[in-house]
Amino acid sequence: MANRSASASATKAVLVMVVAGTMIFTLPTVMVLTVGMIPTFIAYATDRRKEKYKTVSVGSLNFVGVLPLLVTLWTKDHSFDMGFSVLSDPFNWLMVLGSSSAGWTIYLVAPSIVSIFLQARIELSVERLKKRQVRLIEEWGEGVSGDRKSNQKNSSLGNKEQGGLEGHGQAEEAK
Amino acid sequence: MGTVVLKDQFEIDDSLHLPGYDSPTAKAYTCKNLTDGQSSLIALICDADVPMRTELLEGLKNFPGPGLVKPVDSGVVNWLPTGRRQPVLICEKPLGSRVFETLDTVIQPLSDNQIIGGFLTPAIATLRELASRGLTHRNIRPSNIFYADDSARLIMLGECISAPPGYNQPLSFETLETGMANYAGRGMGTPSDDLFSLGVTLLSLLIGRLPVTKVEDPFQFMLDRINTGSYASIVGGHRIQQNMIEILRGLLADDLAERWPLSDVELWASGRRMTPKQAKLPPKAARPLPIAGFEHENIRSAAHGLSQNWHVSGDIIRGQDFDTWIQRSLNDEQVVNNLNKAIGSTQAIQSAPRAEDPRLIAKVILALDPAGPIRLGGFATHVDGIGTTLSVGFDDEVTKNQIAELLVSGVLKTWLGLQGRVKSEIMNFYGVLEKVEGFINLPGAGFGIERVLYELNPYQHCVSPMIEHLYITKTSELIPALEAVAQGDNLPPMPMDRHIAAFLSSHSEHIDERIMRPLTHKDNRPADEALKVMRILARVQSVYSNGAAPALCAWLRDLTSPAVQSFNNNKLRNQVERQVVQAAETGFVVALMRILDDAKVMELDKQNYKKAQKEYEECSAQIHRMDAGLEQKENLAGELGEQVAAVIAGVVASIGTTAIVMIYLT
Repeated sequence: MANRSASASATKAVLVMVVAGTMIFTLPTVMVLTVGMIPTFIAYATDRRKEKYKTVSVGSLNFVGVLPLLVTLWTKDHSFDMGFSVLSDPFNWLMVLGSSSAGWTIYLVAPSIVSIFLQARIELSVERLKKRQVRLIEEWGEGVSGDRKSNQKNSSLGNKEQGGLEGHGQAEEAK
Repeated sequence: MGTVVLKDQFEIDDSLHLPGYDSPTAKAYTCKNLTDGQSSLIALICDADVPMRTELLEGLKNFPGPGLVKPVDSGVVNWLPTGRRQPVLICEKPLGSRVFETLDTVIQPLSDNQIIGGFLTPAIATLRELASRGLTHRNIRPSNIFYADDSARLIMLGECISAPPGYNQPLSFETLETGMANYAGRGMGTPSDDLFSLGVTLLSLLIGRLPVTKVEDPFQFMLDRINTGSYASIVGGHRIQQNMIEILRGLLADDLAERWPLSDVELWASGRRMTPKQAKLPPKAARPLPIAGFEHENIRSAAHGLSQNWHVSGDIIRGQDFDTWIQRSLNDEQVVNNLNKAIGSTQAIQSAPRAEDPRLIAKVILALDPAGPIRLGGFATHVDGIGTTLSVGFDDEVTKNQIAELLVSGVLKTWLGLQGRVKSEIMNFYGVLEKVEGFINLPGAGFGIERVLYELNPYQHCVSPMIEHLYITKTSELIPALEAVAQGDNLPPMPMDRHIAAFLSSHSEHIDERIMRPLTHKDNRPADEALKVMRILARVQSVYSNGAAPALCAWLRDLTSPAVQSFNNNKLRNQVERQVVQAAETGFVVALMRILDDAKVMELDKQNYKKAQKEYEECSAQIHRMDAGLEQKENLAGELGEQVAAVIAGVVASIGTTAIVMIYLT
């Protein structure tokens, strides 16, 4: 157990070192990515769900908006000047923020659409069950519904008092 | 008005009443035998409330001689004048008229020769023939004797079948033993009882009227006869020729050992003459026993006094005076032995609870007078008269209760224990009484006092209020009778009641207690009751195969309708309804029963119904769950929507990323 924990810690340390190393050598990219992904960070900050659906929704499309900036940086000049130049272009910001807002839109609209689908599905099922109940009533009468009144009616069919066969002896016993 | 035909043989004309041949319980009408055209017959339309002695018909077949109005046949006819079915007795019509039109009629006294040759000789021959067949007439009186021809030389005895033995006899024509019993309970008696009646009838012919015209107080009349002898009481102050005194003393003797047998009467009729013997009176006690103000000097008188004064008899038999009278004054060892047999010691009487008084008194009376009728609670009958008494008095609650009490009281056992020799017919009857004792307190239909009625009276018609007017005497007639009832407007609640059930149980060997037992337990649902009744009627109809009864089936169909309605499955119910209608139309109850008595189908229907109820419940639960889900759909949709949003965004981002990379690389 202790060995496994130590090994995990070592892997983590190696990974951090690799990432940190990579970041040191790609600082312009890190800078553009950090600035361009601000909507995602905001989404992350406001996402209370463990599964982070909001972050995924906003982040994935935010990344699509930032990706052209990165590609420009990588293909033209991978420098801080180029980084600042890309970030100062309002069209680039329009693209970044537009894609982020598309993510936000999907995130906000999807539950309503899902709700409509859910309601339709439940209503269909209820309809089907009610039809089955109607068929049962047609086949077995109202009593099958457990309706107390109709059940009482059924059980009391012909429950009128009737004489004729009571015994003389019985009457005497009753006395 | 018109004619009615009995058994395709006897045509009875209800417009031709023959009042001269009426009997107290039957009216006579002209009757013609259709097979031989003989019209010298009379049809006696009998009172339906009074049982006939149908059992005598067989015994009187081929009866020889001209001394008796002979029965030819009997049956039941639809009698228009009364609008009901009534029993009819076909008899040969006497060629002459009735000797005494009524009991009040006064005629010219007959001469000795007329009496001996024209009445006594043929009557003795008739009684001898009856005795040889083990029968008794028990209906000999002046108003039931006829001239056998127009010349009025020969007198014949009237019929003896239309009423129970002794039922129509005036008190003075009955012996002490039978006279102390109620009219219907006098029993078939013995030839000696017939000889007594013959003696009083002979006396009537001799004086031209009844010797005792009116009995104001039957109790006092019988008491006088007991104490002074029947001869003295009945002959009284009438002047009788010396030659007739001998036979009258012989026939009117109260002591059975003293009363002339047939052979003595025959000898007398053929000319033997002896000195008349004085009537032997019962032995007197040393001092009398006072009961309700009358001083009784002999045991039979005391028994009669006790039987007529029930309210004080309990105190009397418990008193020391009674014991002293029995032990010392009476001086009769036989009576003491009888009392010991019947009730045990004096201490036993005194220690018995007061509630036992009626039974105790009845046993004491039996011990004092074993040959007399059984007397219990003001009611008196001979053993073989219990059935007829019940039949005649069935509508009277008091009589019914008295007979029920008599059967369970143990008094009958006491009676048997006190008898010397008992006729085999009486022993057979006693056997039936023992059997019915077990039925009387059973509450179910097919038992109770109704069952007793039919067991004790094998020829009794069914007196169920719904079919009484149809006068059925055989179980094979039940289905047609019920069919006739079903064709009427006012249907009774059920085609079965306690009378019909008892009648079937008693008269049919095919309907045993196993079949009747379900009727004992009353179901609250009339349809179930109707099903039980239907099973019984189906059995009766199939056993007797007496044709279809569509109206009865329709009645049963209506009664069992709730049973059909109790099928839960609508389709099955409709199907059964159709089948029931078709089966009812066939008129066979068994066809109805096959459909309605199928327990398997009913059980399957119940099981399927339960399944359907469960399924309905499950559907309801699902709907409820879904309704709840619908209310919470925003929560569900929120989480699911976010997932969906993440997936869509992911997919769009992947496509966008790929597209951008592709654009910049190319």
